[in-house]
Amino acid sequence: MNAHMMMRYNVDLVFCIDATGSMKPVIETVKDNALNFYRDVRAAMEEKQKSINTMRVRVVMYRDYYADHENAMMTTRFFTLPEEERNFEAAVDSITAFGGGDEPEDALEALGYAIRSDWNTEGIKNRSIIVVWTDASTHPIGYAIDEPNYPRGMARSFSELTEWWGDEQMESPYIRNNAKRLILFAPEKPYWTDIVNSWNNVIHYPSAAGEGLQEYTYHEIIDAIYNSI
Amino acid sequence: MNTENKADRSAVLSLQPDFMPMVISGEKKEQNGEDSCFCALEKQAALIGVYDGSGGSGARTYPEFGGKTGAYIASRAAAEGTFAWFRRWMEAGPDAPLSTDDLMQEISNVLGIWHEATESQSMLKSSLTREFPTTFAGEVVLPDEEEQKLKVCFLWSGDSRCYVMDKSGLHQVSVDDLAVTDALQNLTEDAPMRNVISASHPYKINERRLKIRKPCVLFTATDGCFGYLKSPMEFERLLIETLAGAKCADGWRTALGEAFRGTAGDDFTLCALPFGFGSFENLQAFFAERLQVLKEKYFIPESGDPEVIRSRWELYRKEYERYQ
Repeated sequence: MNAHMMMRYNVDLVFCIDATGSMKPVIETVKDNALNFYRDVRAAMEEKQKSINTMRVRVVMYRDYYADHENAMMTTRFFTLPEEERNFEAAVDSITAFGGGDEPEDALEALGYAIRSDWNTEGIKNRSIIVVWTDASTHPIGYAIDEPNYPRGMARSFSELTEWWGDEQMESPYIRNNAKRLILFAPEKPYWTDIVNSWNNVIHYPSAAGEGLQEYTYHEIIDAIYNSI
Repeated sequence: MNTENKADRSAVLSLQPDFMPMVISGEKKEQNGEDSCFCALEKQAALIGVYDGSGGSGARTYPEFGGKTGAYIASRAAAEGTFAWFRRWMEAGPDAPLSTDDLMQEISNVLGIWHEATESQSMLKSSLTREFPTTFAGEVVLPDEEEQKLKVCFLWSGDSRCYVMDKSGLHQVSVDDLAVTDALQNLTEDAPMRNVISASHPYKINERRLKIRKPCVLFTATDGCFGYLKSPMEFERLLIETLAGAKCADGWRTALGEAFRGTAGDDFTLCALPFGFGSFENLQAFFAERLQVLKEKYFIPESGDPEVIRSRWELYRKEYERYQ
């Protein structure tokens, strides 16, 4: 009897990185963390015999539309790992911290881009994981809507962005409820606290971009990502 | 199928299982398995229980508890709570009602002790995480006035399962506390748990009281036993095929353990208690015909074509869900 069904997962990761000037002291650490994160997820899953069918990663780097205009948002396509590891590393390496203007940044638009990623929905089991590293609060969504570079089709309000994320009662049109996880390495500031209090499948490590993260807390995050909940 | 409101013990009737409760368990990570079990066999009542600490929501490790996870501690604490409840109920005499509320209270008490002893603070804020979360599936078995029947109280929380296996095959009595309750769909979906025992969130223990006709085998199992197979039919086949190939009860236990080790990507725990067969040979002979039915009627080709699996499942599930 060939009863064994391999638990083959398609894992997609989207890294949202705040690249404003205030991130200068930590940006190299964040870049290292981003590069290590997918390796740690893969290792943990393989240790639990959850084999990975495909793993892809994309980067959403964000700043502030008013202050940084055409440099406010940079998104990459998904890189398939390990085949395109060098392209992914080059994309992360290219990030430098500058600009940003006032303290809040346009992170909610970055989340909008991340949620609407071209997620892999094929196969048996999926994980669609968004990770945010930032040291700042966020502007309300649409704060810079009159900027020429502001994206068309972006959620018009926090409520609409919340609908994009979806929940158990109302499935998101963009990201599967059972697959999605949102990991925030962000301070306890607007709108991060709203998100952790009202969105499902969110893990928040309150900090400036993950500073002071201890190993056992990091493992707790990784375990919560790949295990069933 | 008869149901009743009480499952009180009898002062005169006694239980006579064919052998002692059989426990099969394995850990994916040595010394860190997050499953546990509790079995008791008294003259007038028996209990088989399994627990699966939830590794996703209970991944937090506790330095003050030897670096063990909340899931590891929870499954053992809940078993300890069940033991306390069962002992208290036995000591209370034959007229004492079997109370699921009391069981919840005992489990919550033990989890509460661990919770209060916790010194460290989780650095995470999340709706995903829970303090000391664990599933539970238990069956309390009592003799019935009708000699050919048993009174069984099925108890569960989460996605661990209670089963009965009789002449018409394997029946899942518990209904998974998952967003999806179709047993086949649950093998391919990662549906989140809607109810699980924990020290930090409200939970419930579901119960179903039935009279079950002998001969039968009662099972409780964690998802490591059934969650890595292609279909619910294959779980039944695995149970009966290993039974058919064994020379004695211990041989069956060993064969099942090896089978689970080969299939499971997780810790696994199964408890079994057979009634009314008289001997291991009779037990084997009883299910020989059923094995043929499984091979012929519910055969799944090597290719594992999802359409074929779905059509076989639709045929199979009517009997499989008979007690739900």
